[in-house]
Amino acid sequence: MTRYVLRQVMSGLAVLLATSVIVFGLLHLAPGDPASILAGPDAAEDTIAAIRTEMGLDQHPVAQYLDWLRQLLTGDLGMSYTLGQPVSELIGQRIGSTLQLTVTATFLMILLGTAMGVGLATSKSRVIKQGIDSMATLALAMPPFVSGVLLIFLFAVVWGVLPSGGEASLLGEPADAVSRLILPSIAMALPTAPVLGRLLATEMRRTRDQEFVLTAQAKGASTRWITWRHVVPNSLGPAIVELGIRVGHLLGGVVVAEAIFARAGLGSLLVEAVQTRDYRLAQVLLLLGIAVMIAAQLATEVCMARLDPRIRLGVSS
Amino acid sequence: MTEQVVLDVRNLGLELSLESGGVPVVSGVTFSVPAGQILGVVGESGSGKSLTALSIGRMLPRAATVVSGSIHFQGRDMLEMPDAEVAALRGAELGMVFQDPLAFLNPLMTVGQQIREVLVLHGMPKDKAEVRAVELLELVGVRDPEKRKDDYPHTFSGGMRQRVMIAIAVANNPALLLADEPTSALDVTVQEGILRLLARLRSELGMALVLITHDMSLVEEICDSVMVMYAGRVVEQGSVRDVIREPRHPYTRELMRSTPRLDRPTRERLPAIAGKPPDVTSRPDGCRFHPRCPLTMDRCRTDEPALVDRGTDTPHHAACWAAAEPLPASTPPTPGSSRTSQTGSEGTPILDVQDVYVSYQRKARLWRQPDERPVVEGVSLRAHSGRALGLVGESGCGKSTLARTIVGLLSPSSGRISIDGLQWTHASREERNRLRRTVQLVFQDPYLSLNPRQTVRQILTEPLVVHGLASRERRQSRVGDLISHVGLPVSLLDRYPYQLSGGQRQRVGIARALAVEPQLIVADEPVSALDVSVQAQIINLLADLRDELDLGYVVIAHDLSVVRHLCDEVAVMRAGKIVEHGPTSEIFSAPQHPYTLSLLAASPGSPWARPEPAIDAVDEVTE
Repeated sequence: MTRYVLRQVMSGLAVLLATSVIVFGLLHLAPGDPASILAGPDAAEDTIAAIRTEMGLDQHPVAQYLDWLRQLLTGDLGMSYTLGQPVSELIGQRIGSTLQLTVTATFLMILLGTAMGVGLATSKSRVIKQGIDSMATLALAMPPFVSGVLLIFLFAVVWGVLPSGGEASLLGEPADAVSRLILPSIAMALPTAPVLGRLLATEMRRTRDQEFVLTAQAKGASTRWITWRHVVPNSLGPAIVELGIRVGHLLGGVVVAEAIFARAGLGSLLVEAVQTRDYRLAQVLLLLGIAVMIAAQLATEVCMARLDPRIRLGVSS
Repeated sequence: MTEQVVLDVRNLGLELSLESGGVPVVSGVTFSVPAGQILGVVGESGSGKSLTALSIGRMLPRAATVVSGSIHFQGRDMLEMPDAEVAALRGAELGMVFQDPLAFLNPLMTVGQQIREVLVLHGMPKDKAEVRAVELLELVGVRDPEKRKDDYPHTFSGGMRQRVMIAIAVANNPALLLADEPTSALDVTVQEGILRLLARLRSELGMALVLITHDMSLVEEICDSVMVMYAGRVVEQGSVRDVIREPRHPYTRELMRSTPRLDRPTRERLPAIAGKPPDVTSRPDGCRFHPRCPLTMDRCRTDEPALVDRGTDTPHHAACWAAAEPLPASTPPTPGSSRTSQTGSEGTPILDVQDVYVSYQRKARLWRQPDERPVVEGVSLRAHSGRALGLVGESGCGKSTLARTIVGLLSPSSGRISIDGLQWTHASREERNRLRRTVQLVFQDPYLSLNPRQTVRQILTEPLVVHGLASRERRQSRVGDLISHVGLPVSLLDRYPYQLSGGQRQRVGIARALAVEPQLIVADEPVSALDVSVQAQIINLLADLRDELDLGYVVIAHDLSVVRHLCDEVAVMRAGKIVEHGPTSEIFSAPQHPYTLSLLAASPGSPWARPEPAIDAVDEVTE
């Protein structure tokens, strides 16, 4: 197992290296020039040229890339062009907010998805099943920018029970911080939870027909016991794979959620960086996003192996 | 004499709800099992034997319901009992064992966890359950139980898994154990061990046992009484001695006759029951067996016979209009159908396998050592046109791998396979195409090996198109010829595989193989997925086709009694090597290798002494 994880980490690093080239290339191909933005609209040609030289932008792109890579490998993420602060410091200031949001959203996805899945698969009442199913379809059809605005309108404007956005320190004012987390994390979890729920329900229906369920019944176990001890663990596979993909994409989703709920996290930082052609900052943020995705894939594999001994012990069939 | 009756079932009727409405699947089933006795319930697919068993523990699938009768377990009415009380009986007083032990064990839990679960569910504290689980594994003959309890089901062999299932079933000392085909997924020699274990537990724990099976020889071996079911009804029941010695129902007799046995002459045509067991939705009127019965009278077509006692000192019932008097002597095998064995090695062989090695390999990767597992180690064989070679061995011996290598699906790592003078390894594109026509494979499971989205017509036309064998106009008549060749009506051509019975599917599989006019047929367990009465038909069909088309056969089987009726020569394979090879009659009359002897001893009707129980717990090599 350890060897397997190590192998995966190595290949993850290789992917990261390859994508760093793409990230670097794409940003530099995009129109716009950080030097002219930095110099301001009325700057003279030679001022801009001087800034370019100072920033190393006049060098050959390959040299620039190698330079950047060397810095990265020594742990130096570089300086932001426009904000004048080290990139690591900027990320450090914002990452807490984003982590809070993504972790809560993931937790909600799992909770809602499991509830929906088990409800759909086990409920005997047609009304309840139909209800869950319609809710799932509705949630699926609403991207965060729609559900976010709707949630703000209902909970903050009409009923006034929750703040419409912003954030607070989780350590300083925990109650306030949590209340400000609720709406954005719901908005992010809503389109994913029904996907997980449906995958779980489909797999549970399949698992329920498997023979070991009959054995559990023959042991005298109750329906609830059979569902949670035998059917659910054997049905998690597809939902875990999907969850891994969705968590990998969370850093992308956070851009929208942070904009709607006025949170200063990595998402809004990325938007700023791209708008101002702050290559140094944008490159690192994009790489971070890709690293999260790779980590999520690795976590998926580890989860699957923890869950199923046949994967863990490397059974070929 | 007052025997304590553990299970008493009276006039049980079950119904299956289909889209078209409720259809009776089981009716009028009455039996009782006294403590410490073994009842065998015998029947083919669709006889209702498994549903009857499931209904005892109220575990019927949703579509099936009890519509009449009563079930009393230890004097308590099972049908009136609240759900919670039934659940409390299951796994405690009532143990169950099912057919395929891998599918019936949870793949995500260690065997220890699964045994502990049934103990904890019935109120044993966890620490005690831990100790008891190890005791149970020891009781059922799993070696090194302290260590094995932490292993997962997939690391156990088939026989060992079934032992684990039995450990679960007897964990709480049940009064009754229901075993539904507990050995039919297992190798013959392993089967022996499991049966012996069940018999031992019966006497050690004093429990009653209901053994559901399709195999009369199992019943003969360990049961006290037997109930034979056909199409949802009991056709005969009584003590094993009476029923085996003097069967009163034609179905019982035919079932016993059509089972390939070792105590019958070799190469004689198997007495097959014509037709197939009826479908639940289309059961005939009158006696349900009448369309297949050799003794049918007018009355059988209209009136359903009741179970009547023969009036001997022990109860022996049969439901047959002809049962009043002893059955007339069974018809002798069709004259001319048994043929002389051709055992000479004259002529060029159609298949020549010389010193072939096959191994499964895992290539080396960045962090992985290359891995090579030899499966076939130095096998040499020959097969001739118009003759059949039987290749017998138990699961894991490499026989299927060898079959795949012969038909070119796998490549040998060394050695030479030549078919009609051509070799897969040194063939041009054209020669490979010719090879693919010369040799054809018939699979074990005709359901899995036929494309479910193709009609029989499409299945049979495809090889003709691929090999360009018949012009567009000729194809349809060729397909018609093929289907009649295997004894099926042309009307089946536009059906899909799921609309056919197992025997019909296997006939389609054979017709598909014949489509390219092969000279050599490799049949991998061609009958082991079929009902007993249908097995005999397919064996006879294969024999007819061999003689008619002068085909060469390699027939792979795990069971010696099957190849005996079909094959001229037998090769016994174990752990990748041929341990014995010779003419069928010699192998069966004077086996040389101890392994052949143990295979023979485990087959039904064997004149050979069974090996002593010394190997009880060591019944197989751990995979």
